[in-house]
Amino acid sequence: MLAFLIRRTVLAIFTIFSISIFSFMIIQLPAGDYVDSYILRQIEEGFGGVQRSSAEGLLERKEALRKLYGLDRPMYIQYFKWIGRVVQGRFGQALEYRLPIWDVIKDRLFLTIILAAATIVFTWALAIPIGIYTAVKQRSIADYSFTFVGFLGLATPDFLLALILMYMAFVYFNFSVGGLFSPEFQSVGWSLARAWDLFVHLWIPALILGTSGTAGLIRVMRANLLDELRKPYVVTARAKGLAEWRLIMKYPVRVALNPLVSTIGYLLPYLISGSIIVSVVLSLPTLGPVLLQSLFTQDLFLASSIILLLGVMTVVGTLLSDILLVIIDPRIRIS
Amino acid sequence: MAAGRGTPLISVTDLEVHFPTDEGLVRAVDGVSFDIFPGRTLGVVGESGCGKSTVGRAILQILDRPGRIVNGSIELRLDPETDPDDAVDLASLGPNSGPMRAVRWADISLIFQEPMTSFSPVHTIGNQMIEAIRSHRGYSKREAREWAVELLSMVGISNPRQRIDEFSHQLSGGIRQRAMIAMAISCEPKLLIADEPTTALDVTTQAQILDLLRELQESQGMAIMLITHDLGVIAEMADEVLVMYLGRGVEFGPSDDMFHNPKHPYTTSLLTSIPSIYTKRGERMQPIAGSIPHPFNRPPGCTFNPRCPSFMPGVCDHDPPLFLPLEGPHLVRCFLYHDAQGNPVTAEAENDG
Repeated sequence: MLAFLIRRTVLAIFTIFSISIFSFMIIQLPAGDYVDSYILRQIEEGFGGVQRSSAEGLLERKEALRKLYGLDRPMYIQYFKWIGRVVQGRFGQALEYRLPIWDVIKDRLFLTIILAAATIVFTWALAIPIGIYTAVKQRSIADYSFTFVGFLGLATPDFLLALILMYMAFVYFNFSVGGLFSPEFQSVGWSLARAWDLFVHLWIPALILGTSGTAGLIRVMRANLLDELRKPYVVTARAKGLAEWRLIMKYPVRVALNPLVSTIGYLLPYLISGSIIVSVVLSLPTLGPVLLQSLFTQDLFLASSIILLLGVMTVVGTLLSDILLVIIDPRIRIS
Repeated sequence: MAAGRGTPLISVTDLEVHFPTDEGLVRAVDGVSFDIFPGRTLGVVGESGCGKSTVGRAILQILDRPGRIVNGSIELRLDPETDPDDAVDLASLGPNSGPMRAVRWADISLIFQEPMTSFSPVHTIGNQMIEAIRSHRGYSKREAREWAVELLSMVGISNPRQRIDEFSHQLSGGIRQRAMIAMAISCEPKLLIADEPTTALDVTTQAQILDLLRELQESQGMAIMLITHDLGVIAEMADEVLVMYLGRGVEFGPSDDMFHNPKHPYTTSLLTSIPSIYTKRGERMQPIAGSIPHPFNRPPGCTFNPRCPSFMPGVCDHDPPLFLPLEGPHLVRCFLYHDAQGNPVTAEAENDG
């Protein structure tokens, strides 16, 4: 077990570094950089006297800014300077916000994790019982109904569902579903009341984000369980005279759940990348909108930092679900 | 039924099991009658798909969906020696009812072909044995565990205290089947249904498992219903034999009679289709002509008629023959012996056929 952990940890670190290199490179692929997009916006917004200055002055100013931000250096030097700081825990400045990157993302990172956790809990709590029920009562009216609703959920884009829910909540209940906090808790310190406010607001975004995942998981759980229900060990359990529901929960359900554990790892990045549009629509203070914004403004360091954090979360999540799988499934042998 | 064997432990009469599917009705078991006597072995033999496994599962009412018993009775006598009239018809109990579940494992238990998959892959052998013991006996966890260890050593598993906490994938095929047998006898059942118990094992292990079953039968006094397609196993183990063809019982009787004086043409064909040490060098085995008909397209009359060497046109392809006693305990389903009304066929008529 220890050797397995060490080997997997070393691999995880290597994976994270690869992610950082590739994300750093890919973000730089579009033409231009932060300075270009900054100057362009200055011109559009028409302040700072930029539009009056000559082309030469503009060029000089760009060069000065590039030097200031270190963008004039070759890409690999930029990368090593950046990663060198990140390893020491310093992410640097968010150029657009003129704040340290960590200050920009730390609250959002926390809320992102909370929202992802809530979505996973919601998804599992709904999908697993329904998956079990539809498998055991295969070809019943309930099975067909859940299958219909499930495919509907799978086919509906999250952001559309968000818009529909927002509209309905506003028109019929005069209730605003945007954000994760009520206005009075928006920017105050943490308290019990604020945590409760978050809890109350959390479930609608969790429901929207979880819909397609729930529908998909119902299908997976149903298919896994249908396979297991036909296995001889279920017949053995039945022949032993155990009550039907008890034996189904103890044997085939237990076995059918194993493959689902391995999906916990990649649920997290799926939720974060998949939630960007929903987060923008619902104006959620999560990482998604900041990542989108940083790519628009071509803030290389902010975008790379967020992607690196997501990468770390994914790799750690996968590692944890692999370890969990080894613990719960005796058939997996570490060699 | 027969003198010398006492009252049957189980009497199955006219059992029918149907599987309604989208393609049509599958009559998996279509009229089977037989008796199982206390402490004796019934061999059930037939080709694949003849319904022999389904009969075993019907007795325990653990048929796969959507199968169900549509006709017939399965009478279980818990005390055939002293109280032969005290019988329960298992076919009349609901599959998930309390009384049916109480019969399972405590009175009738089951082992089957795939020792690999008949244990749960994620629970230890001990966990599953203790569960079986405790659901029928008022043992404490510790008592149940002690009993499980004893059972494992009884079936010849060395180091039972260690093996009890292992998972089925950690055991070899033979050991796994031994563990399954240990679990099956954990509540000292009166009948053990063994559905192809040795088919997945190599020949040496096969012989060991059959020996073990015989030893346990002697020490526990339980009856065994041995379902197999292997006539050699039947010859070695069975006291009575039931031959099945396409869901119907075609011949039932004492093992000696069946092997030395088979009545039904199907039984005769089966016996001549296997190699024997008396076969002369260069002599060919006789395969049964034709193949098994499709379950949705059964021939009218006797279902064996298209393959039968004694086929009588106008008789065998008209009405189905009845399953009737011939002499003593021997039952046969064939127009060579009875007409469509069930009257015995005279010697001349037999010669004509």
